[in-house]
Amino acid sequence: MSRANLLFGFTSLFMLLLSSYLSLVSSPIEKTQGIHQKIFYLHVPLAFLAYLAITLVFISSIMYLWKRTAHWDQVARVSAEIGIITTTLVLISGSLWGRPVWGAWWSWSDARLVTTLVMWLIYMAYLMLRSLGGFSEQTAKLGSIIGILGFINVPITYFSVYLWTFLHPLPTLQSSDDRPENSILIPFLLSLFSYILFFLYIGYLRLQIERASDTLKNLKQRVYS
Amino acid sequence: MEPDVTTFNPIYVYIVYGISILTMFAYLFYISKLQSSIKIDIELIKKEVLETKQ
Repeated sequence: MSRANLLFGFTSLFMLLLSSYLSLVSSPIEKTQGIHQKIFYLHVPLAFLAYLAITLVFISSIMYLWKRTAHWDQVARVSAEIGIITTTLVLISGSLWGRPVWGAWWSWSDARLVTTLVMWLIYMAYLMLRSLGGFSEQTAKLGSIIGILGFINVPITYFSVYLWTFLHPLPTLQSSDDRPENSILIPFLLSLFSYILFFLYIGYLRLQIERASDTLKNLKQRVYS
Repeated sequence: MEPDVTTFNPIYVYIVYGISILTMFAYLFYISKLQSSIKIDIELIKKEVLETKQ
């Protein structure tokens, strides 16, 4: 591993630990939700990353169908993997936040929760297809179609809180009336930046491995045939 | 179940942060395992190529 890679890795880990410390220890305890509001510093950046990863699956799937180069297929696979990890953590952290604040682990009548679960299922199906379908162009094409069609659920998930409000609150960061104070906003932005940096690092590493793995598969086919 | 906001029990916060950090480290561990399996495969192929040459 190169020195720049190691530096990138250590910086992202350090930022992640620093932002976790600031979120847990330095940020104020909110009046209405109490200490449970601190889950916000982790839940929202992870949700943002989940949308980002799934948008990347969508873009790289289109690019793969257009250009037919292995690079775009590799980007889609890695993004889907990161998307499923972040969506899983969003679902778990949301449930653990909902229990003390709403009094329920889960609600089937809340559109945001259900559409996020649908998003998780779509990308789980995508990854299952990629892992069971083997190393073929047919699987890559089918995966790209799922990656493109599955993206339809992303705007539905995002706007679900505006369309069918039930338990999940509306975003407060975009509104000027309800914007949180700086003591909450600064740790949140730092946390968002740290998670983006960490997953960029992980995504970069994973992409390098995916490339090496594909090259190795091609090499094996040539050597053993 | 009733909301529990009156109590300042941090257990849910610790569980959320614990699960997230563990998951991220587990994923890093998985990536390093993949990397080492690729290295082993490369060595095997090198051996195979050398044997066929000889």
